[in-house]
Amino acid sequence: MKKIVLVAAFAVIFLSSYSQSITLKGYVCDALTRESLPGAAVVLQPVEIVTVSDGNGNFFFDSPQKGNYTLQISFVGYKPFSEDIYLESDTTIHFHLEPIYFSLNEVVVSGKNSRTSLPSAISAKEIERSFFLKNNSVNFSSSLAKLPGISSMDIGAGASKPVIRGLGFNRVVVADKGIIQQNQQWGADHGLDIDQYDVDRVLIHKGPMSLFFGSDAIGGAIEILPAEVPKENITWGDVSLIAKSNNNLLGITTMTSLKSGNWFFRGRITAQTFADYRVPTDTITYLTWKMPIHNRRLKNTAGRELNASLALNYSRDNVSSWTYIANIFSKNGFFPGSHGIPDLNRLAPDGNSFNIDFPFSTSNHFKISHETDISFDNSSFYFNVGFQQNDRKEMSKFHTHYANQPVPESNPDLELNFRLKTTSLNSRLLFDKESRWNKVVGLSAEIQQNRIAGYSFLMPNYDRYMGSVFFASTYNIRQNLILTGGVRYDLGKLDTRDFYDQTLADHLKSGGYNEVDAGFYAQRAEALDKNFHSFSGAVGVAYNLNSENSLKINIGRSFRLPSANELASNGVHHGAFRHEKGNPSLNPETALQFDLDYSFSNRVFNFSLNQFTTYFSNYIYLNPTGEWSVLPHAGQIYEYTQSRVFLIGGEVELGYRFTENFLFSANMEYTYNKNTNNGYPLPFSPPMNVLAALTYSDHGKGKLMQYSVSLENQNVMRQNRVSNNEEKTPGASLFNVLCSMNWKVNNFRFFTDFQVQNILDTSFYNHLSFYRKLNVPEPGRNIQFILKIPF
Amino acid sequence: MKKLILATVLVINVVIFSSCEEKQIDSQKPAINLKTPAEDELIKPGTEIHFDAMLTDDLALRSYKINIHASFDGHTHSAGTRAVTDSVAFEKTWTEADFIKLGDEAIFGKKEVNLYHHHMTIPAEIGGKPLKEGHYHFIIYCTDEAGNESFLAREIEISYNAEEHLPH
Repeated sequence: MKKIVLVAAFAVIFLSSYSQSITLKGYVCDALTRESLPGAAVVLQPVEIVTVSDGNGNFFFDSPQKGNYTLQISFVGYKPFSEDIYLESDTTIHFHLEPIYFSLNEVVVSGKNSRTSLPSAISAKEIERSFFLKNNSVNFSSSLAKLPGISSMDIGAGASKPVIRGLGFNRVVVADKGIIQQNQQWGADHGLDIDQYDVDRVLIHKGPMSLFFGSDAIGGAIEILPAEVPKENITWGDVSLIAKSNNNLLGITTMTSLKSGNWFFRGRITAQTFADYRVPTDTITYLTWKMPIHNRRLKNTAGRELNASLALNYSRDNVSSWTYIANIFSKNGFFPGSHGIPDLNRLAPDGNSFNIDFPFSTSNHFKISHETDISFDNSSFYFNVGFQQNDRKEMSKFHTHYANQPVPESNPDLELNFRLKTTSLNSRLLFDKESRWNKVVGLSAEIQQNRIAGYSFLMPNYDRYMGSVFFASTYNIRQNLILTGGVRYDLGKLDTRDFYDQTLADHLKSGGYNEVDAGFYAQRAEALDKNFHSFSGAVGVAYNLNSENSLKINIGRSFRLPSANELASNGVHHGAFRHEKGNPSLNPETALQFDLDYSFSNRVFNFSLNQFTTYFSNYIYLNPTGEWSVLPHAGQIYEYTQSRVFLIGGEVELGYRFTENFLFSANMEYTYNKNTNNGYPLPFSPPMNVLAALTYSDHGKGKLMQYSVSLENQNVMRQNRVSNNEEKTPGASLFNVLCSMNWKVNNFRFFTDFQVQNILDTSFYNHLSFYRKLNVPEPGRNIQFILKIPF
Repeated sequence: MKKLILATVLVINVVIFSSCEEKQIDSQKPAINLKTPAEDELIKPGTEIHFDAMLTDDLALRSYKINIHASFDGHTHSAGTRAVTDSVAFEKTWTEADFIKLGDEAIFGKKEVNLYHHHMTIPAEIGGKPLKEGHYHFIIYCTDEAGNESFLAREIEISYNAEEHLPH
C-alpha cells in the first residue's frame, strides 16, 4: 500500500530536465557499531535506479538529473531508511542504519518494485528473506504462521498449507512470481510445495484479492516477489546450514548470484532430511484405544526435501524480464494411524527413525515461467506466462475391502496419483501512471488438466479453463488520500470425467444390493460439463492522516469456483474416514468482505489494528445428511452444500522500544465464524492466539558484531467453537528463546541463529493439524541452529 | 472524515453481529456402549454374532449402522487379498433399516436404546469358497438428530475352529 503512497507522492512532482551532470555518493554503516555495511540495497526514487553498497559501504549514482528524489536503503537485519533529497549539485550522504534484529515488527513495507504494482487498499505486509531464517519453522507456511492472522495447517512435521483468518485450502492464493501455485490445494494432506529458503520478498494480503488473482483469493493472497537486481556487476552467494533436534533435521541451502551487464543470474539448491518427530507424550488415546508412542517418536513421520531453482533476469533501459525454472520435491511419511484404524502392531518401532515406510506421499512440483515488465513514458506493460506440473503420489501397501479387487499389475502400491498441469497467462497494462488518476487493465487465462492413477479413488480426471478481464484504478485526491477500486469478470469451464467402479458394483451386488443401489456407490464421479462466471471487485480508500497515522478501508467481493471433488466425487475419503458426496449443482462461492487497517508508528511505538468482516452468500461445506453409507470406513454420507456464512475478527500488533536496546512486541489474532444454515462454526477455525516477545539487542564485542536475544511467549487459546463432528482443542502456553548473532572474524562475516522452541516440552495440539483428530500432539521441545555464511 | 469512517465500521459490525445471534447447537456426540462382541471374540462362519449395545444421546438419537471388514496384517489387508485365492475376505454393512425390516423399533428421537440382535449372520461360505480366517473390524456407527456421529471399533476373529454361540 505504501507503494501507492509513494507513487502518489511522486507522480505529481515535476522533475526538472536540465542535462547538467551531478554525482550522488553515499556511505552506509551500522548506527551502533559504525561498521560499514557492504551489500545494502540503495534505491533512488522515483526513477527506480538500484545500486548496492560496495565492500566499504560506499555507493554512488552516476549523473542523476537535478530534482527531487527519495533515497531508500535496505539491508537485511536493519530498519529500512528513506530520505527525501533535493539534488542540485554533487552530494554525499552518510546513512546510519538501525539494526532491527528479529523483532516481530521486522515485517516492513519497503515499497519498491519495478513490476507493475497492484493498486489495493488491503493491508499488505512485506516480509523478506531474513524472516525465514529468524522465524524458521519446518516449511514456508508454518514459518509464516508467526504473523497475526496467518495459521498453518500441518500434516505432521513436513508439509503444511497456509490459512488466512480461518480460510484455507482453496480459499487462499499463493502466487509465486506472478503465477498462481496450483497443486491440489483442496486436499487436507497436501502441502504447499514452496522452498522457504528460495524466497526473497513476500507480500501478504489479508482480505479479498479476487480482483487481481481471480478464483480462490477470498481469505487472501500470498505473493512471492522476485529478487531485487543490483545495478553494478557483482557476484555473491551464501550457504546456510540448518539443524533441528526434535526431528534430527539436517538441511543445507546454497545460493549463487551473478550480475553482469544487463544480465542477472541466480541459482539455489536446498536439501533437507529429517527423522520421525518427537512428541511430549508416551501414549495417545484414539477412539477407545490407548496407543503407545514408542520412544516418544511419532512413527513414520520422517521426510526428505530436495529443491532447485534458477532465475535469470535481463534488464535494459525500460525493460526487465525474468525467467524462472524450479523443481520442488518432497517425500513425507504418514503416521500409520492416519489412514485407517490404527493397529498396535503397526505402531511398534521399526528400529529406524529415519526410514520412510508405507504409507507415504511424494510430491514433485515443476514450474517454468517468464515475466516481462516494459515501461513507457506514462504507462507500463507487464505479462507473465507459466507452466507448472504437480505430480503427487500416495503410496500404501495394496489393500482393499473388496475381495474381488485384483492387485494392480504395475505399481501395485500406488494408492493415489494426481498429475495436475496448469498453463497460465496474465497480462496488465498500466496507463496514466504519472497522473493523479492511474488505471490498469488486465487479462488472464488458465488451462488446467488433472489426471489420476492408483488403486483408490478420490478426485476425478478433469479439465478446467478460465479466462478473465479486469480494470482497476487509483485516484489521488490528495497526496495523502487515495481512492482505489476495480471490477473483474471471470469465466470458467470445468469438465469432469465419469468414473464407474465396476469392482465395487460387483462386490455390492454379490452382497445382495440391487443394480440401482450398487450403482449409487460405484459411480465414483459424474461426468460434468459446467460453466461458471463471476463478478468480483473492490473499492477502497487509503488515508495517511499524518506521518504517524494511516488508515485503509476496503470493501471487496471475491469468489471461488467449486472444485472437481466438490462437484463430482462420491465415496469414502481415506484420510477423513468419511463418505463425501459431490453436488453438481454448486454455484461459485462468493464473499463480500470489509477490511479496516489502522496503523500508528513513531520511533518508539507502533500499533496496528486490522479488522475484517466477511459474508459468504453460498459457502461450500460438507453437510451430514443423516443417510448411512453402506461402505466400510464410512458413517453417514456428507454432501457438499452451500450456506450463508459470517466471519468476523481481526488482528492487533504492537511494538514498544522502551530503551535503545529493549523491544517489547506482541500480536493477537481472533476469528469468529458461523454457518447460518446449521448454526455451527466452520471446521478448522484457528483459535485465538497471543504472541508476546521481549527482545534485547545490542552490538557485541570483538568478533561478535551484533546480537539479539528474545524470549517469546505464545498463548494458543482453547477452541471450543467447533463444527459438528470436530473435536474441541485445549489451549496451551508455550515459551521460546531465540538468539541471533552477526559475526565478523577477520574479514569473514557470518550469521548464526539459535532457537529453543517449546522450552518446557509442553504437550499441546494444533486445532488445524491433520493429525489432530487422532489426538496426536504437536512436536515437543526443539533446539535449532542455523549458520549462514555469505561468500 | 474520521467520524464517518468510525460510524461506518460500527454500523457494519452491529448489523453483522445482530444477524448472528446464537442458535442452540448440539455438539454432543451420541455415546456407544458395546457389550458384545467382546474384543478378540472368536466367531465361527455360519453362526450369528451376538450383538449387544446401548446407545445414548443427550437430546435425540437418529440411527446406527454396523460394518464388518477384514483387518489382516494391521490395516493393510495385503496378506488377505494378495496370496490367498481359495478363501474370501468377508465384508458387510448392516444399517438400522435392515433390522427394522426384521421387526425392530426405530431408535429415531429416543435418548437411550438397548440393542439386542441375533440376526447378524456370518456366512459359512461366499460363492462356494470358505471365508478367509483372521482378524476383522467390527465397527458400530451412531448418529443423533443434529448430525453428530460417533463410532466404535472392535477387533473380532473369524475362525472355523471357534465354538458356536449358545442360542439365547
